[in-house]
Amino acid sequence: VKPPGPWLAQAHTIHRAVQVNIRQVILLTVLLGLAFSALLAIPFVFYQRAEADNNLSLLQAEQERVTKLAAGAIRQEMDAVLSDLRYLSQHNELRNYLAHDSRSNRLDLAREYLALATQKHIYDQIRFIGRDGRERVRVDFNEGRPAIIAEQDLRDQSGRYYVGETLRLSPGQIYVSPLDLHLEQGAVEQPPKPAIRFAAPVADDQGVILGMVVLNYQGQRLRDKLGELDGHAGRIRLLNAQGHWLIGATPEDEWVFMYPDRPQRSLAVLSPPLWKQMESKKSGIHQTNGSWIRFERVYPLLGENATPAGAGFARPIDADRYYWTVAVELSQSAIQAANQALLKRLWTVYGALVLFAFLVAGALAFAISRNKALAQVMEKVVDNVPVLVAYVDTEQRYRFNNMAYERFFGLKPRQIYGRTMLELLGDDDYRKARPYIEQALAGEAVSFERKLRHVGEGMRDVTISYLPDTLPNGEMRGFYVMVNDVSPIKASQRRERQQMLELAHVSRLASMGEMATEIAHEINQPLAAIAMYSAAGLRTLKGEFDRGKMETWLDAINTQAKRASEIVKRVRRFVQKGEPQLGPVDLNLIARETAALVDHDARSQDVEIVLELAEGLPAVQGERVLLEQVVFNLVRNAMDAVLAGSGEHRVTLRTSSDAQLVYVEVSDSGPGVDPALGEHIFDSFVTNKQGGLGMGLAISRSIVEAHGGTLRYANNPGGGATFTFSLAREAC
Amino acid sequence: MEPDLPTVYIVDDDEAVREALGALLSSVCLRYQSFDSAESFLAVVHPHMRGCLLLDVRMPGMSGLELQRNLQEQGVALQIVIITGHGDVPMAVRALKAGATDFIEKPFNEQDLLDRIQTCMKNDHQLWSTRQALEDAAARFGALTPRERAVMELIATGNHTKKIAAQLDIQDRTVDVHRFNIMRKVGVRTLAELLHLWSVAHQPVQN
Repeated sequence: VKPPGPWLAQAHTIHRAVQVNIRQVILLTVLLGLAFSALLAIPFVFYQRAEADNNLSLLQAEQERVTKLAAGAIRQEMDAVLSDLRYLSQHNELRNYLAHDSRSNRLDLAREYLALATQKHIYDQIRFIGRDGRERVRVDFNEGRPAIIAEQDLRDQSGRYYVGETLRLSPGQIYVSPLDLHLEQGAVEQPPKPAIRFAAPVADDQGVILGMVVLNYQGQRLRDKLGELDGHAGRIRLLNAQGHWLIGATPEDEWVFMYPDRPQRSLAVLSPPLWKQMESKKSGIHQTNGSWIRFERVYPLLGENATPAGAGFARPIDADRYYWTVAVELSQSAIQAANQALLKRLWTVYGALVLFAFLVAGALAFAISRNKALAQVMEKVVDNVPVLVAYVDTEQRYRFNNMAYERFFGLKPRQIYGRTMLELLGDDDYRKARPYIEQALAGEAVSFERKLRHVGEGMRDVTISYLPDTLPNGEMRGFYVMVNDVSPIKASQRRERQQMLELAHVSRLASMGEMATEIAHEINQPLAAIAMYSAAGLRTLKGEFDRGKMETWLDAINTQAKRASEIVKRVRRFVQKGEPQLGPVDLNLIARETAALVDHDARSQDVEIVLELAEGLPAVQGERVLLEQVVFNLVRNAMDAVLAGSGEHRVTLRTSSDAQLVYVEVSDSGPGVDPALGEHIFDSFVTNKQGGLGMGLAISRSIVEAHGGTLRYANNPGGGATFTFSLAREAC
Repeated sequence: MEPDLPTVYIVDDDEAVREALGALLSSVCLRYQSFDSAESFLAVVHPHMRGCLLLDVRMPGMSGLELQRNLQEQGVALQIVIITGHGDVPMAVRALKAGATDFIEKPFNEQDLLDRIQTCMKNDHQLWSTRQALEDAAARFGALTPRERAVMELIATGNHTKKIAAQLDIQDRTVDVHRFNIMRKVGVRTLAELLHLWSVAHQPVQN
C-alpha cells in the first residue's frame, strides 16, 4: 500500500518522513498574506495620493482652460457686437436716412436691421433712436421671427438712462450698458431677459449728434455660450463688478440687483474672503471647504478690435472700468468623484494583487513549514546517528556539527562552531589529518582510519570521511566531515581474529593429533637407523674395525639425528601458537614445507604428492603458519579424497601468479565435491570424513579471508576437485 | 638342486633404515642384501633362496603382506620377520597368520632384532637340513625296482616275510633277497633304520 505522499515531493526522498502542520501553514498564510497586503498597500496609497494630486491638477488645468475659454468667449462675443455696432453707425442706409428722412429710406434702414437680426440671432432689438429719444427704426427679434416694428408702435425712450448717457457722448464713443434684465413697462420682463444695450451716437458731418444706433444684445446668449463650457472642471459663474451674480449657482442668486426686494446674495455677502481676494486681484484661485474657485476678471470691451487705433474707429467708453469676473468652481464633490473613480480602479487592481499575495503567502507558508519540519527531521536524524557529522568551510572552520561531535570532544553546544580544525584537533592530530583535508578541499572524497581521543573513553578507532561540497560551477565551498566510531567493530574484529587464530591453532593441534601415528612412524625411521648404526658401531669396536666404515656410520648417525630433529621442528612450527607475525611469505616455501609435513603419511598411504611450483613466485603479505595450515588442510583433504576414490593416488600442488594475485591450487583425482553441497562445503561441521570435525575448510576460508584473499573450489572436468586460494601479491 | 647361502634380505623403502640394518648385520657378520621395494625383491626372488627376510610392512607400491603372499605362491621358503610401526599390531597379527615367523615393532632394540634373525637363521638351517635328508631318502628309495618297491611298501606296513611272500605269491626266500637288496640300495643295516628313513621320505613336505 502506497502511503499518501507529501505534496510536491518525490516519494523516495526524506520528505516522506516530514509531516507538515496544516494549521501552522494556514496561520502563517494569513499572517504573511496580511503582511504582504499591508506592504502592497503602501505603494497604492502613494500612488493614490499622487494620482489624486494629479487629478486635482488636471482638473485645475481644465478649470483654468475653461476660465480662459470663458473669458475669450466673452470678449469675442462683445467684439462681434461692437463691430456690428460700428458698422451700423456708419453704413449708407443710415446715412441716406439721416440725409433724407423719407419713408423709403427708413424702410431701407429697417430692412437692413431686419437682415442683421435675422442673420445674427443675437440682438433682441436693433433700433435707431433720434436725439429726441424717440425710436425711429426698430426691429425686434421676436423669439426668432424678427420683425420691423410698425411706426405707430415705436416708443419714446427719452427717459431711459442709456439714451441720456449716449447723447452725452461725442462721436466715436460707444456706450455699453451693464448686463441686466430687460425692463418692460418699468418692470423686469418675465421670464427674465438679460440684456446689454450697446449704443453709438450718430453725428452729421459737422459733428452734431443726430441720434443713436442701439443694439439690445441678448444676454441669455452669453449665458448659454458660457453654460456650454460647464463641465467636470466646474460650472461657470459670472459676477459683475459689484459682486452680483450674473450666472450663479441658483436663479435666486442671480440678478438680485434688479430686485431690490430680494435678499442681496452678492458675493460680498456670501463669501467675504473670496470677494476681498477678487477685489484686490484680477485673477486667482480661492480654496474653501475643499472647493477650488478660480476667478478671472474679464474686460469684455477691451477686445482685440479695440487695439488698432484709427480715425473713426469707435470705442466704448470706460472700457477699462467695465468688467465682469468669470469664476469656475471646482467643487469638492467633483474632486471626490474623480478620486472615487480612481479608488475604484485601484481597489480592483489591489484586490487582485492581494489575492495573489495570499497565494504566494500560502506557497511560502507551506515551504517554510515544510522546511522547518524537514529541518527538524534532519536535525533529529543527524543529532541521533552515532556518527560525528560536521561541515567545514574552505578556511577549515566548523560551520555545523551535530550533537555527537560535541559529546565526543566534551564540548558544549556551539562551542565548536567557528573554530578551526587546527584548534579543535590540536597540532598533532591536525598534522596527520592535513593531507586528507587538502585532498577534500581539492574536491576529492577521502576516507581513512584513525585513532581519536574521546573526552571520556580515551582513544577510539574511527573512520573519517571527508565529502567535498562543490558548487555546480566548480567552486569549492567546503566539505562534510563524518566520523564513525568503529572501536566496537574493531574490537569485535580483533576478538574474531583472536578466536579464529585460536581455532586455527586448535585445529592444527588436532591435525597433528590425527597425524601423531604417522609422525611417530616418521620419527622412528631416523631413530631406528641411529640405533642400528650405533649398535653396529659398538659391536664392531669390540674387535678389529675399519676406521672408514666407522666414520661412514657416525656420519649417518649425525644425518639421521638431524633428520629427526627437523621433523620435530616442523611439527613444532606447525603447532606453535605464538603471537602471529605478519610478513612477506613465499608460498612456494609453504608448499614444500607442507609437502614435507605430509610426505610420510602420503607415502605410507601410497599417495603421490606432485609439486608444480612457479619459479620466481612473488611473495604475499601474511602469516606463515596460518597459510601453511591452509595448504596443509587442502592437501590432507585432497589425500583423503584420492583415497576415497578409485582413480590415481595423486595430489597436485601448484603455484602461479598474475599481475595482482598469487594462486595456490590443490588438485586431486578423487570423486570430486558433491554439487549439492555447493558453498556449504566451507561451513563448519560439514564433513564427509569419519572422525573429521568438519572444521578444516571453514578455518581455511577464515584464514584466507582474513588475509584479504579468496578460497574457492571447482570440480575438475576429468574427475576430482581443485581448491584454489588467491592472495594479493606483495607490493614491490 | 643346491640352495643359496643363507642371507638376510632387507626390504625397506627408507634408505637410512635399510643401510643402518645393513651396517648392523655386517657388524655381526651376517650376509645381507637390500631392496628398496617389494617389487625389486620379487624381481630377483627364486626358490633356492634361504635365510631370512626383514620386511617393512608399510611401503609404497606393493605392501609387505602382498609380498608375503606372493612368496608363498612361488614356494619360496624364507623365514620372514615383519617390521611394523608403533600401533600396527593388527597388521602384524595378520602377517603372522599368513605365515610370518615373527614381528618386531619399531623402534626396536637391535639385540632383539638380532636374536630374532638368529632364530630365523636357525630355523632356516633346520628346515634346509630336514629338506636335505628328505630329498636324500627319497632319492635312495627312487633307485628301487618296482618289485622291490612293492615289497618295501609291504614291509613298511609291518608285514612279516611269509605274509609278504603269500601276498605277492612268491617264495619266502625271494622276499628276503629283495629285503637284502633294498637295505643295500638305501644304505641302512637294520630294519629299524629302513623304516625310519621310509617315514622321513614319506612325511608331508612342510614350509
